[in-house]
Amino acid sequence: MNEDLCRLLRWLRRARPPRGELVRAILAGGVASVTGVGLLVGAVALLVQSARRPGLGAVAGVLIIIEVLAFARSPLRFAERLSAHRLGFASVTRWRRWLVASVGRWDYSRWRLHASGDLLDRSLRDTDELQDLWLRFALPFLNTLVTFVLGDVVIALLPPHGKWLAVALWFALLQFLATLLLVSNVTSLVRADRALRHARGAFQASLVELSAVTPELVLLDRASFAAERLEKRRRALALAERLAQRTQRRSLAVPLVAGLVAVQVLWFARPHASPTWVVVVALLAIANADSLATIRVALDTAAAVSGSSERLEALDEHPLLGDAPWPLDTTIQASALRLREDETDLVRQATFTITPGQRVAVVGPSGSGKSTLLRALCGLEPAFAGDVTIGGVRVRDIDETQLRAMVSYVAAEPGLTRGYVRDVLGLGRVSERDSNEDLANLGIHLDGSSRFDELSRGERQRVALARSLVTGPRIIIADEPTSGLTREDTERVLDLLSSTDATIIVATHDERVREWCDETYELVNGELRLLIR
Amino acid sequence: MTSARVIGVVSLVLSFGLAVATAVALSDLAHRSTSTAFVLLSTVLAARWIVSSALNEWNGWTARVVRGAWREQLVAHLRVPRAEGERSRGDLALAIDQVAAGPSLETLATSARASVVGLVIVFWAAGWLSTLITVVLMGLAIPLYQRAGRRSEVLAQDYQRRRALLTVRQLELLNHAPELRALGAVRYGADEIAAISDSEHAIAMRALRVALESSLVTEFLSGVSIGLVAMVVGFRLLEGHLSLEHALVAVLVTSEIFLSIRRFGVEFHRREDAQKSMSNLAPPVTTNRTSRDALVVADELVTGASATRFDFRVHAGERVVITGPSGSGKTTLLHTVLGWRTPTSGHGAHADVPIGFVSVESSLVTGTLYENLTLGRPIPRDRVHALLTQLDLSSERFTDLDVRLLADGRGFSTGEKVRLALARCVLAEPAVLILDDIAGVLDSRARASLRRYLKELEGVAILEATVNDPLLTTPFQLIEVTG
Repeated sequence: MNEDLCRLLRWLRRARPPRGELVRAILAGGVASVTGVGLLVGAVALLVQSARRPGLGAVAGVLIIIEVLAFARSPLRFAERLSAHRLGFASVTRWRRWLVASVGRWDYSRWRLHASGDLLDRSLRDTDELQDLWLRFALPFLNTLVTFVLGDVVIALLPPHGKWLAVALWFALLQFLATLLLVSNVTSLVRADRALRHARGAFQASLVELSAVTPELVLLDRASFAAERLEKRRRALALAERLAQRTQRRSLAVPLVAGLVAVQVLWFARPHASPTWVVVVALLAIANADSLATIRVALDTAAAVSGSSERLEALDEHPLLGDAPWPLDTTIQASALRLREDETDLVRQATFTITPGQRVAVVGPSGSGKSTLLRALCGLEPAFAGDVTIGGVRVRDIDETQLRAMVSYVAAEPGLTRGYVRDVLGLGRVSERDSNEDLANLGIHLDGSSRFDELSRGERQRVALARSLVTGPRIIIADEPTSGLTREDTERVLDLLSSTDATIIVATHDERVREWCDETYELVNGELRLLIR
Repeated sequence: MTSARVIGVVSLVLSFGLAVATAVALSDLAHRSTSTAFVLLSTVLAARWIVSSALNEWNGWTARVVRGAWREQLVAHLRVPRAEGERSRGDLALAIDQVAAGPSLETLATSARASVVGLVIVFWAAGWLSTLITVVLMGLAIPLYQRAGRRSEVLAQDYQRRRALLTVRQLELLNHAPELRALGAVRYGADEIAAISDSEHAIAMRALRVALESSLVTEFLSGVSIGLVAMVVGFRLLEGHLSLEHALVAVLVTSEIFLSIRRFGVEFHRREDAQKSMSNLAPPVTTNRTSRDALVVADELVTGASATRFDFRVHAGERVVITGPSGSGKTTLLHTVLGWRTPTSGHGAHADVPIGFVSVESSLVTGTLYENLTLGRPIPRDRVHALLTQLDLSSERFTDLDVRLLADGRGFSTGEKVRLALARCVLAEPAVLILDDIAGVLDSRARASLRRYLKELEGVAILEATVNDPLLTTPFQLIEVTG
């Protein structure tokens, strides 16, 4: 089987709902479709019957059937839609959780590739779309198959007994072939959809990119630069949309041909039977064409969703996380450490030791790789060569949970600072410190039940610092914790850091922070060296 | 929209016509089972297919036209920076897709309304009783439908709120995933999302239940209507008052009437989405006035971020420094005089001249360094190189101007990006240069060369916001923001 179909099946399986619910949804759907068709067929049969063989008895029988169908149909549909949506929702929660958990395990360098543009934004929409896999593809598809089978069984059982079997078999064969034909178009649908999504993604990414820069361009009187860039993407998108439409059109005739052939089959193969049944079967043949159209739409959806699953699959694999326990000795050692980013060496052959409780500043021009070095020290970034160890254990081998509790890292541009103070600081972790007091010491006076909304950059930095202390870490790594802070706030930050006896490593441009540290390393052109005071 | 309505009526009339043709074919089949009956049946099948395909094509075509028209004027939406918490501008593309479905939904609405005409056919075919049944049941369906619609609207708003919350939160977590990992809170984040997602779904299920109840009502009434009409017509057939052909027409047309109402009911919420998206597509308003006497003006200006009242003017060539602690509202002040934010009172204005704005958030676009710096105009490379050297951007990464940058200016540090943005501004020859707190991300060497460069930059007014370390050494004016 080809790759696209395999992937669809794989993702269907990954988000498979509980079997009981699935069976219920399929049955409800199938029976609802059958009653829908049955109602019309029954009504027509009633009329034909009344016209041909006037007699109350015959009519009354059909009448009862029709009314039962009329009353039962809508609740069945109701149940079907509800259970279908429930299935979709259950799967989407699963995918949302999965997305956060997998992206949360990535190394920084990998995350960075995705975080530019709106790839993460799109992955969010992709997980949302996956619910359509069950809701708008699998269930309608399966329901229609159930309808086919039930319809054919009804035809086979029509009186005179056994005479309709040939027609029923012909119908089944037709349904099978038509479905197969429709399914075989999926590959090109997926291909066209991939091109369309690519163009749409490029258009949206360009929109996002330009939205950041256009206000400044307009001020500079260069709005035309943005307009030209967007125009190029717009044309590509329009082209891809046309192509996708053309591919969808390719299978348009299948339901028609299948319907026409079914009518011909009926004409040639119909047994000598009451015209009522001929009319009934003719109506079912027409209904077959409609059902095939449903399958077509379901397959279009499948193609659309397959793009999402394809992209999400690329987010899937993640590095193995270590399981070594947190070492008692917290000496940090780097040996022949080499770090690379975007094909350039940021750090070459760095070897150093930081003893427990030491305060170390890392300085260097912007862009020299200080942030990357800090991330490598706390195991958020893999080393290109060489090793970082804590107490002799490689950082990347240490159990993730313990490592994160014991080594804290404060990013240069911290985020996740909106919401209730308690949640922002706690994040579900076991607290070892009084963070309200820490916040107060940093000049932010709030209690746990108040909310952070729009914080300034300086406030965010201080909140992030207080948050990183919550678990009582033994090693604190902070990237420019005082940039943009006033002299007073800088003192507060340093005082708070002094109140812990942890090892402290900061990247900084700030002279005061440098003086406060025991040692200073300078990173210039990939060389890390210890400055002598 | 008129053409959408016309198409709606035409497609409805055609579908009624086809229902009648089907009835004729079936009655023919019942009476004689001749080849003409089969031919007629095949023709009906083909005609139905042609009508639905044509409608499909028309939908595709109008959607394309609508999308094209909106996309062409999208740049107007990007004039103002994104406010905090506003969703990504990529969503504009989605809003356009929703609006593009507008015409096809309008045809469905028109068909549903026009389906009343079907009653005339039913009356002609089967007399007043069948018509009465259909009218009464339709009359029952509509108020019930509206009631459910109102209820589901309330729930849907609730749901949308939850959903927006969920999306914002999840995006926040993803955009700070390395931090989440560094804090050891990945599982917490995933659980939080699952919890919000579940509560979103609980509301969604409630909204759905109501929405489905309304379709339950139409389905139920349509089922009962078809059944009752068939019964009435059946009895009249038995009595010999009616021909089979007429009877079949009555039943099939009744089914068609309810079908078009139901189709519209299914797409009802999409129509509302389309209308809502339409309002999202209104371009942002810039409230700024044009000033004639000075380059930048603040008149009794109070912004949303601080209580300070600002009153200043910046004239050609002047150097102005705005200071204040972090969070005191310096950036908001700058955004307000540029017209990106609405003032609380007073007003800000700027002259209609090129203005360079540089902040830590200034970003680059994909493309070469040369494109990024010249913004599509021919500028001699020597000049670009000379400027970069003056700004202390002389390492090997800046020697080749034709190397394509990585997306988002990756590979450059913030300090370098800020200086590239500054170079971009200077090359566009602005009359005013506004620097929003960029000194903090520069190392001491870069800071020194920038100080030197800005001092020598003649004929350009410079306005700088900073916490305590300005790049402008001899300001003409000092404005303090106290918070």
